[in-house]
Amino acid sequence: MCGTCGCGRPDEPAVRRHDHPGDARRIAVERSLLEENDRRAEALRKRLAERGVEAVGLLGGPGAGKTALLEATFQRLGADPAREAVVEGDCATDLDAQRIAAHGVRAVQVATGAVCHLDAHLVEHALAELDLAGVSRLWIENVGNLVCPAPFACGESRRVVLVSVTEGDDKPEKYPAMFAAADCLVISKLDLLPHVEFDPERCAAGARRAKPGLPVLAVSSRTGQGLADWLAWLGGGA
Amino acid sequence: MHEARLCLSLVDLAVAHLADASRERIVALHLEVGEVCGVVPEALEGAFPICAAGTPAADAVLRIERVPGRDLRLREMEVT
Repeated sequence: MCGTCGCGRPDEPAVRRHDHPGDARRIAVERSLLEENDRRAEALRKRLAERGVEAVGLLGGPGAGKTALLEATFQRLGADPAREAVVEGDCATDLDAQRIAAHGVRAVQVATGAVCHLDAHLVEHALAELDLAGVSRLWIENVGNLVCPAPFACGESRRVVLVSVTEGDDKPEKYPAMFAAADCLVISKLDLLPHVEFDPERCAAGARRAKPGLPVLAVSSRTGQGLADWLAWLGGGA
Repeated sequence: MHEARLCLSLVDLAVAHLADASRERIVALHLEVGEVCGVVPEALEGAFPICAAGTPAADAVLRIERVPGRDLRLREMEVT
């Protein structure tokens, strides 16, 4: 008797599964649904690395302060605008790309329409419109969303997730997937901390439950508080 | 709604394997969905019939198993 399913056919030790006439047949697949995107993202990351470009992903809910952090990085810290470039993802408008361009930094806006996240394919298309000559850091600011972008790699070497103090310190506990895929948590809008109930320790602990050892920084893009630590982390490389 | 994109990948993957096996119809798809993969099983189930309509997977049943980690994997399928 077949030892795998007990069907009465002779044992076929080399074959785990076999046909039974009239029955559905099982086919082992063992493939990730994300593999096509992962493959594109890895090819993109390599292509950028060969040109000396590191891509850094910026993720977080709408209004977490992603664009403001970029502006503060470009403005206060004397970053050479010619060495930076930004892919901006939003459902509609090029408002963020305009904000970035005002700092002399090249930016291309991806208007995703109803699509809730960027993926490697969208970023490939965006890069066709972006001149990367002289650029050493490409920022990929994802659509404001703490859920959907998590599984989709976009060619970034490092992922930064922002949580603003106005959003609440429970966000990492509620949305663990995003933090599990992060390389750094930036707690933003620190200047508003006296006005809200937000425990940075709880926020950090929640994120580290999803991703043990995750670096956690706290900044105010408005006052500049904590930006030195942020730049130090950024300069530390992948 | 990112589950719709993933459902399209699922249907493509399953239909390709169906063709490799010279079979006609997909009866069931067994998926492993990681607890922190960022995908909600109910949303996959909601998007699947729309994504599979008109394909040999149109009548397939989704069997979803939650697993630890970030994997999102088509483990096996039943075909006739």
